[in-house]
Amino acid sequence: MIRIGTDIGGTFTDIVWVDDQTGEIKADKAATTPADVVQGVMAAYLKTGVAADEVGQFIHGSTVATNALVTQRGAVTGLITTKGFRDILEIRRIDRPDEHIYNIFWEKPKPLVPRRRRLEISARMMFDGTVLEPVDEAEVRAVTEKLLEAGVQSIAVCLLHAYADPSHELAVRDLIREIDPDVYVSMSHEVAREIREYERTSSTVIDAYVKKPVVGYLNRLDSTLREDTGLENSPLIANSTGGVSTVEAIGRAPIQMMESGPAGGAIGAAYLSDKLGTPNLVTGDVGGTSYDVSIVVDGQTVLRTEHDILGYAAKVSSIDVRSVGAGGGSIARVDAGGRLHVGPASAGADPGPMCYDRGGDEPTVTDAAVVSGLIDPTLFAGGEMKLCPELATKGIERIARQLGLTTEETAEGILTVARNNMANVTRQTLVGQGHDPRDFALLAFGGGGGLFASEVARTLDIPKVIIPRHPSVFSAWGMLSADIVGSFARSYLRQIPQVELDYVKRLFSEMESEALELTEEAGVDPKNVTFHRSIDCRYTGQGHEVEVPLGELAIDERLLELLPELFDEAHEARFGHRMPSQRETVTYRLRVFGTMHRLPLVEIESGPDSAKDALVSTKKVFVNRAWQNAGIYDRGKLLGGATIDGPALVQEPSHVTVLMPGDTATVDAFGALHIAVGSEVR
Amino acid sequence: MTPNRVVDPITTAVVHNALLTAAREMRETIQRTSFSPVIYEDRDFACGLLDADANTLAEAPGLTAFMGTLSPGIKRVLEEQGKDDIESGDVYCTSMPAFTGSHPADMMLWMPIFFEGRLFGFAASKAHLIDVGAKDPYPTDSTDAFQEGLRIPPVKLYRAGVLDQTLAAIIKSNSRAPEVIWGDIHSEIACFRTGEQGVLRLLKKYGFDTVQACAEDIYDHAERMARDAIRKMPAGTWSAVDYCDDNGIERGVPLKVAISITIDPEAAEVTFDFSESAKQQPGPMNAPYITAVSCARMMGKILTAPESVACEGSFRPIKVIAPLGTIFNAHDAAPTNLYGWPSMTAVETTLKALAEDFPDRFPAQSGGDLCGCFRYGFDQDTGAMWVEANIEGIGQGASAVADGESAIVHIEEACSRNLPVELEETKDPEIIECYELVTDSGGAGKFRGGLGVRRAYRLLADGRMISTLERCNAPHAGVAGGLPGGRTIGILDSSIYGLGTEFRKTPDQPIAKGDLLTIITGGGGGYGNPLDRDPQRVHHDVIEGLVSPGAARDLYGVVVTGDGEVDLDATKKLRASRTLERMN
Repeated sequence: MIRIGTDIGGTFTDIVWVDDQTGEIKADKAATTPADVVQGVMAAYLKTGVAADEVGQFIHGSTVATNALVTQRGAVTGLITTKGFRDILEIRRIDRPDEHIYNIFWEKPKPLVPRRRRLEISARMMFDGTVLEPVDEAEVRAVTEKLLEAGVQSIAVCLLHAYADPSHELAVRDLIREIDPDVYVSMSHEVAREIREYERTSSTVIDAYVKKPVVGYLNRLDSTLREDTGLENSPLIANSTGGVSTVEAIGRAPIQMMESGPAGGAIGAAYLSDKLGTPNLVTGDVGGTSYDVSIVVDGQTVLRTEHDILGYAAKVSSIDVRSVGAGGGSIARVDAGGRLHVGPASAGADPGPMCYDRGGDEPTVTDAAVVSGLIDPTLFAGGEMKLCPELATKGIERIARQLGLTTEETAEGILTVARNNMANVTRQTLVGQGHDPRDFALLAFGGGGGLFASEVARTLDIPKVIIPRHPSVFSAWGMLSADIVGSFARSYLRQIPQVELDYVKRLFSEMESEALELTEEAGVDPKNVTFHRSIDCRYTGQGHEVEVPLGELAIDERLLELLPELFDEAHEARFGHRMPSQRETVTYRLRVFGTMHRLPLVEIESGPDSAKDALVSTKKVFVNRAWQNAGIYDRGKLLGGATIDGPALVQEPSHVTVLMPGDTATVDAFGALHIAVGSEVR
Repeated sequence: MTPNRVVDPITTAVVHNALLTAAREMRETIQRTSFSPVIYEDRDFACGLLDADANTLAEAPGLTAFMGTLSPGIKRVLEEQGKDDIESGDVYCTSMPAFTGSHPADMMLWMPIFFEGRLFGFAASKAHLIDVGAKDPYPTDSTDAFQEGLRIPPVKLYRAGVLDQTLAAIIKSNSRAPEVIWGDIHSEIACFRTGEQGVLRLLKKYGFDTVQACAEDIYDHAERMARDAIRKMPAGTWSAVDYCDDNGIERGVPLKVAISITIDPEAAEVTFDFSESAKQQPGPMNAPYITAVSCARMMGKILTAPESVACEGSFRPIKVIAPLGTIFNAHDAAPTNLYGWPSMTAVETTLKALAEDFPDRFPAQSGGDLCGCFRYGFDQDTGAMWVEANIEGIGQGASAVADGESAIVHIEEACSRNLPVELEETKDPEIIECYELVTDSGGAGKFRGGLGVRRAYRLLADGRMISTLERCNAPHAGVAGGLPGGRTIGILDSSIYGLGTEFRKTPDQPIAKGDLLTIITGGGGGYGNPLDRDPQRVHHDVIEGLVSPGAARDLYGVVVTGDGEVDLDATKKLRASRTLERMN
């Protein structure tokens, strides 16, 4: 059987396919078709030449959910809230983002549901489920009718304290269904069953807002793949938590697809970390506009339970991916005061860098790399796009004049500033979570990963860089290693001595049945299903929680006895101290993993230490402030065990790995490049 | 003006970004390790890196009002004590308002950073400590500084890495929450170590002299940007007067805040003159001089270069005049617990002075307050104390091109957040009955001011309250014919004080089970004549419930019919007659 992974990027739709028997991996790409991206996916699939009846699994990652937010083209959405609280969505948390503290004109992102479509009902519940005001059916009907009359296609329901008891939200849902069985409904206790009304409302509204475009897209993809090409199974969709979900599961909670794109790289990294025996990895995914960082600790991807999507709060589990505006298309400019800036503005894919010769008029990181001799203009994007080095030089010369430097010094300077921005976000990600960069290896991929990795690692004292095979399509490859993953949560705010064990048992068993439904739907054998349980706890009075993993512990009296100490330990590990306060539980979590096929890693042919058979030529590159001779190697010809000393360029279709003076790369048995990062040469 | 290069521009850019990253890491360290929600949730702190002369090198985004105080405070200490006694491993602290520009709860700490025996600079922070032994949790009626908490002059808490046990014991024994403040102090010290590591990495890589040259380059660049901006501005002096409600003691007697801003494009300088403001007060509405400096720096930064990060160079063209003995330069023993409110009002007064002539830099006045109100009490069974102190969003003033944002925290505390209703109901004996935007609270104008919010608390147990509500008197001015936004209103429906009683600044007083406490925050001022507002925008506001049909007619001259549509003919006629009335 052949399994296929596809990932839609801004310029290209990547496709990777692997033969489960032989383990052979192939990759290709087709132009992304923005008007209807399904066409690009189909074009990519046709390029594989794999017959429909050979396809065992088709895994797909897409930014369709995020795009609906970016373009503000979601469904006409309505919101039903508790009386007195319809403006929670707009009041938010009242703060300004860090980068806007001096910006007195800063405006919040426009609420996805305007005030006229935010309607209130008098049902009211307390934190312990006590009902102050029951659901008034006539009122709910009237509110629903009003929303439908306003043309609403999707309704978000978020009532105060619904995390404690969903019965009011369920009653509202049933009444809506009675009136209109077809309107989309998102309930807060299903989307994010956690305390904090703004974050839960915002998440529910995002979910309701993107549901229509996401469901429409997935159904179209599904029917195109199955009816037009005869694929037997529905595609599986990469979700934000580093797993895959069925089309049906995503349709129920499309917010889980929000970070489908960057997740693939993180999944692949976690998978590789095990295979390569490198438990701690930090990833550097270089795209056209951004540098994305995620981390793998002890072989596990690191998740976060809350984040910000384009300025809208989302209280859902997702891979913790941090980004900085530094990529191939990042624009270099000199400000009025004479300071060089690189990014975050990007020339994107269109018009793109000046050397694309598509009308771009601002020099970018890619232009700098061309001028430095690091990118071969004839081999860019697998040779599918010829670059124009004269235009790159013209752009860099302009910056050089403003800075009073030579053209090549300027080009190297632009790369240096970009790399340092990448290093800074990486350091912040690691140190911010209490990690020492020296304990990590940098796994670099994406179109520009190898261009920057050595210098980023050197800046951070990271001793080793790994460039996987097929680095430019690594995210699509990563998806092929994914499990069926689902995340479930229930808030239950109690000081630990007051926690009722029976209630906790019920919470977990509810979540387990939901989890099993999910894996069953995806056809996972129940014996390949595992659960990870955890409890978010905090000291009474604190505003943030620490997730305490329960490991193999059973849900019994002993757990409640151990929990205070487990929490103290977790708190100390993350924050450096314990506190002399009461401890309380806030949110109970269950993650389910349904293991699918595992991705085989195939050994490549091994050979002598010398890489001379892969040496194509030598050329001059400008690194460390001088033109130096660098060996040019063809990665496809490198055998296992070969070593290469920098300065050198290792070229393959769509990717180049730069070895700096002092670096030594070794090819491992699976074809990955391991670069021992040399010490600073100044 | 061409830059005078000592180091190459690439190195400067790399060093600057690394310093900013180090400052942000300092902030993450505090947020990760602090004990008190005031710090990690409200983010009531600032931290950053300074050079050996205490110039601001890199600051982390933090409490806007705090950020400008670290450098002048430590500079003053250096002036008084010199540098000879500074050793590696020292940690200094002070809670004296004259150095911190705050009240004693805002303790300032700093640590020298040495490299190869040379003093490179300091890591510094100021954070709100939850309790430093003031007469009550947050005095609004203190009459001297000694009622507001422990006063520690600038001394070493650690000398060459060794804790001063005596001082430690004094600090802890003077707090109602000793473990928490001691934990927070050490979280700040942990952040200094983070900052130190970041700086040492750079010093090792580039060398002391190169990094120092980069620092000069960073300052000069920021100064150039700021002065170039000032050179393009018109010359002149802009003045405005505004009032705080009262000084906390003499209730209801308005307190004058006056500011003159002089722009001198030739000297490329801006001067903020606070001289005409009220004399020092017997109540806690006084600010130390450094508060005035910080406030002027913040507004000066917004005026000259709001889009770039701040450093010493950004502040070089900004001058401050605030005579001793006024509310912006109070004597050392003056009560200053509410220093933040004259400061916030100074921000608002600056907007009033400049918004009309600098429409691309400043909007109309905002709601002008944090609208804080403490509630606290003791559990009947356990005796455990519960305490809550919210801050709230206000309406932002409109600008020449856009409506003001609604329900957003005052720019002086730009990063702070509100308290979720669900957390509050879980934690405290209160039910929140509503939390919503207040229709018609945004000042009318061609562009409308942002709306304030209403939040109402029903007490489920007896307790006590302290209110710091401000701007209950003064309307928030509109600009260029724009109307003022709604004022701050506090209302008690109480079995003790009666129904519908308004409250303002209120010292510690009891409240009873069943009482309803409602806080309505102020809206922003409008910009331009409301009769010039696009009728479609007014229509939209009416449909959204932000403006009532009555206000649409009375203030905007827009007639919205019973079926919710704009009657354009009637609107035209109404606006014409309104304009005529105005001219007459």
